[in-house]
Amino acid sequence: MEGIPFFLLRKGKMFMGIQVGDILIPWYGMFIVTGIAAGALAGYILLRGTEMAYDDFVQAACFVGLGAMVGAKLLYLAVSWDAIDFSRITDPEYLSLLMGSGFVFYGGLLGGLAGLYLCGRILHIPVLALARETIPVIPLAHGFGRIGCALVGCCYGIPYDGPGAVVYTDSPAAPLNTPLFPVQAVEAAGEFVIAAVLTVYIVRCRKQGKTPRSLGLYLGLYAVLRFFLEFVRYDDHERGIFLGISTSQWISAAVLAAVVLHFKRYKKTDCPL
Amino acid sequence: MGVASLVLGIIAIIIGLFSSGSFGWLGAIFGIIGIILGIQGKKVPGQEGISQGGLVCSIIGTVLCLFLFVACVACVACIGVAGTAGATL
Repeated sequence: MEGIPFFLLRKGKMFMGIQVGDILIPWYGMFIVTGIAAGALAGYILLRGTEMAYDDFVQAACFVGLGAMVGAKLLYLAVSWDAIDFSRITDPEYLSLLMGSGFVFYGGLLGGLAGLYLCGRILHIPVLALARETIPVIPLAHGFGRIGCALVGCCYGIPYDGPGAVVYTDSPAAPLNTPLFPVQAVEAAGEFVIAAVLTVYIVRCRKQGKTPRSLGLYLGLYAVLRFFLEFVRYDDHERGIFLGISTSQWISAAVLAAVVLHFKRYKKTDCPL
Repeated sequence: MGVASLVLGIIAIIIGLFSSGSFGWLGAIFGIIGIILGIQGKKVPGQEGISQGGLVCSIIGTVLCLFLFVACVACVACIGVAGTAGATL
């Protein structure tokens, strides 16, 4: 039990996860692992019928994972800079909490792309072709992560009293006893829909002998979803707000603009993404 | 590479079992690197067995370490709570 943050160990409190004996397994970690397992299975299924090796997919996924962890953490530290107590940065417990939680998806996405590029350079794997065929894995795993967010109460929505409103009675992050918009659950559903759309598109392209433009399609669809869902999020102090909209909305707008320009440029020719 | 994978995998398992709440992020990094090295090692003649072992240990270690991740974004609040409790404990 040593080393596990104290707030995981409050017996009888189920707000962070499920209790197994003396150990409490956080919802978020459990759903991250579930998402990775689902992604591994989806990658295996998507690669069947292609000439690409599953081992290459796993290695590329590992590079993406490492890059994503670094990128997500760096962007989180950047947007939460003011909330960090630098006087306690040498305290191991504080440092481990700071490093072990707090990730921003867009930082992870950019870091993951950097990891994918490095994987291609170092291991000489055709990462772009691999990513085009297996990109539904990302929204699938991310959707499971969002279910974890919904259960623990992080990334919470605005106060809202309509259908589907959630009330957290014991969350370390969300306002307690206040009806909130279930933004995490809506985003999870949106991610699963994006994964399904991409899968159908990739399979259809494969049947028609076309190269799928699935990377650009994924980036565009997620940027739209995220841009609008940010309006119903309420954790402003953790997201960084600039000129009235959040960091993620600025990144969404930039990503969407880049995708539209990219598709226009490669309208009639082979598209790299 | 097979030996490196096995070592990293074992370290990741130890971190996952005994201090995942604190250093899970570090164990996950070790585990992921161990998976890459394990797959690479399987291609080296004579290292297939140990690389396979390293790969399995790294996967188990990574999963153990990721299991105890607390949340994605919200933990500025958690850190504040931990800080208050740390001061009183």
